[in-house]
Amino acid sequence: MVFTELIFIPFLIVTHLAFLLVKKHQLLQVGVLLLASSVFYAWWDLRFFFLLLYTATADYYLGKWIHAAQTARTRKLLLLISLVSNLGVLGYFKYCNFFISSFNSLAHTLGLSTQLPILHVILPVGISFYTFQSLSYTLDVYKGELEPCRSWFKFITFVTAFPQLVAGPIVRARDLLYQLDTNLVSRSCSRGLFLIIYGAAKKIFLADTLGYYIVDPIFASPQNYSSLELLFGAYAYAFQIFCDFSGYSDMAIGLGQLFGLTFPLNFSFPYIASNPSEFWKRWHISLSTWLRDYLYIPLGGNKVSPLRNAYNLMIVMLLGGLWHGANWTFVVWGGLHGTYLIIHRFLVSRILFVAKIPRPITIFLFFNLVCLTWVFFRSQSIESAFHFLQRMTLMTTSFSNFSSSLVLLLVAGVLSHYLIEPRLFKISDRFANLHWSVKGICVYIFLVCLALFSEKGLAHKAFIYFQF
Amino acid sequence: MRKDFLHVCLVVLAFGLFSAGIESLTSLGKISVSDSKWRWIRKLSFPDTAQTYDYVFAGSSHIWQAVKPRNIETELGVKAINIGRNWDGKDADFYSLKNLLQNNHVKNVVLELYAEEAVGPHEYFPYIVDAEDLGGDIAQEGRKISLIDVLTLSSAFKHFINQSFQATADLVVRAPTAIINHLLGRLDCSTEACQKNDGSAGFYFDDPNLRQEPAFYEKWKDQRFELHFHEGRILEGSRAAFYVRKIKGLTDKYGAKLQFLYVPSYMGSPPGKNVVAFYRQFGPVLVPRLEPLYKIEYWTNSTHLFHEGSEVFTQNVIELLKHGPAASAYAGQL
Repeated sequence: MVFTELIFIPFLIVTHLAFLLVKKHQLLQVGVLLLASSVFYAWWDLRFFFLLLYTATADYYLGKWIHAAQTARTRKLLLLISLVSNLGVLGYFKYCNFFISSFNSLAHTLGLSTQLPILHVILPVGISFYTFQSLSYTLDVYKGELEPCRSWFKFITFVTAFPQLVAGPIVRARDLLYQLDTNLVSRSCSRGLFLIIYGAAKKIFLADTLGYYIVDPIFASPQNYSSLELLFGAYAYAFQIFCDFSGYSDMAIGLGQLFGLTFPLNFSFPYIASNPSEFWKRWHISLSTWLRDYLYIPLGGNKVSPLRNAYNLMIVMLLGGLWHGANWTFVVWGGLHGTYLIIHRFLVSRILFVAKIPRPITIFLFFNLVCLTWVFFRSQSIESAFHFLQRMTLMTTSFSNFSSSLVLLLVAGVLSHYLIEPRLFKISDRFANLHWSVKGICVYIFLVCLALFSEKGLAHKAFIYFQF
Repeated sequence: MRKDFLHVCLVVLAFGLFSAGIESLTSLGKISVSDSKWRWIRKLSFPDTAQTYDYVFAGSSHIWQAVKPRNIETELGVKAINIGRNWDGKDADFYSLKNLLQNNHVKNVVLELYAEEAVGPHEYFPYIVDAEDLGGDIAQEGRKISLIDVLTLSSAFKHFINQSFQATADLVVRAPTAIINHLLGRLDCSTEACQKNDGSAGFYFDDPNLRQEPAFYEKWKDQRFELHFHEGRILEGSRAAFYVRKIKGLTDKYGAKLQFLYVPSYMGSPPGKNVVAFYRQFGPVLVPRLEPLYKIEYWTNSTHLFHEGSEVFTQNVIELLKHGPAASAYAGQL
């Protein structure tokens, strides 16, 4: 099930009504959430719901045993089991064919006849998110930063909570478990509703149309477009992926608010970043902080020699790229960001005149560097990404393939990021203060717009990060 | 705060009921479908003055491209129209015929007989189902749902839930979207822009620019036709069976004669014996002689005739309409 499917509406209404009916019974509230989350995930495929249960149950018990372990060696061993279990599941379902095909390519290049068979493995939805989420629990218990959860019931609800299950934000155990111990009161129902509508609007009206009319045709056949049009396509993808992913995160946060759960912010208008360090404090915040706390800092972070620090940054970004998908393009994407971080940390920040460059210029320059990485992220292969970039260097300037209305569409995406995002919470407060009849009319108008848009067959396109 | 959510739901429900209510008072809602071909069919179905049609050809884009009604009109001195539209599905056939028969005088309905029947709903089902039929459709799907389906969230159960809600949700917003589509001029399907702006796969009257697909030619150029007879799927209890019975009820109610016409794919065999036996319960089954149709230049791709191919096929159809099912090919073998 996806948030923008029509079937999600009755699902949400029924779940929320059931949640309100049991508002005085904390355990029943958690039960309603767990049942709804189970149906939400199992709607896609019941078999993989059991895989999700296995992952969560294993970490629940491992967390208890880690806490109860007498020796450091036992604690380490149990943590290792958790890591192997989670990363093993993730590795098998997500990466085994990637490594097999990479091995086969390498063998072919070396003239070897060995060819491993490609396995037919279905990628479970949200596996990258829930394995990291569950791992955060055992890691925090191991570090002594979190007491083990005493209720399997609540732990499973933490891992499977449907608002953030399939595409984040990656909610840490320390941020959500304690909320399930309290009576869940939806204090910000209207704000939650606003975020849901706003997120859905960004995804359907902006992200999907940018993708359908601009990005997909350009990346499918870059040879048919001029350099200027390719640049336009790269910019369009930057805003498509922002609107798509942040739209989902907004909906997830809004849904959480409907059920009295507070999720962390996942995006903070990232395209105003003027350097890579700032960018990663604003883009997919839940992932970047997860990588920082559980990978970068344990590797030594920046409290080591400069060479080792650079190594740590690159490792984290390469693995962060690989997390996104089983393709070398994501590794290159991560590697580019790692390079930017290293250059920024060890060179740029030491060059005095850089600090004197007006911020709007550095924002624009860095935005273009980010768009360069998005070309790899979006392309099907490294070859096609290089082909795309090579055609951009031809400096051809015709712009006959796209109408002014599509340019306006991109402008709408830009305006939504630079003007609306910084004021989002003020706008949601204003919405919350409207009379309920006016809110109802706004929701109805949104549904009508959705129906008009669905005539183009766009309303049911999956979220981009759904595939991760 | 908690009541806000409930109040918002009530406001949306109120608007929805109002929308579903006024939708029945104006034909705007009935013609505001997300596809220009469907809108054209709907416009024919709600004419200012009832029209008389001797032959209505209905089905998918196969029959749309295969049958040229003007040729039939010239040869037989009758009035004929072809309301084939994208994708197959007896549910879509029923809804494309329902209001047409209700509001016009139709003497003969010639319905495409598909080699393979669609299992699920037509992709535009939520837009074309009427409020009065929704209950029956849901009940028909519901009869197949068991407790095991519910507990295991089977495909059948999910289809049933999706279909029920999607059709209901569309009724909730149909009136305002119809008004907006009317104001934006989207309901007028006579313009080229309208025709180009959808995926109905065949809203052109014998488009002279239509070319044969190179990939089709390369793949099929050396294939030879081999005549095979097979049993085919038993349709009783299927979605197709449900809707064929509804179509039969419709034609009986409005005094139209129902016939079935087999439109093959390139190099396709005759329809299965079980399929023919099923449809014969409801009307004559017309099967053209297939081998003369299988010249590669007659086909734009593996499923659609065009240009000269449509001329040849239509001539076949004229002979079948003149002489009845006795002229149908393979009569003793199906």
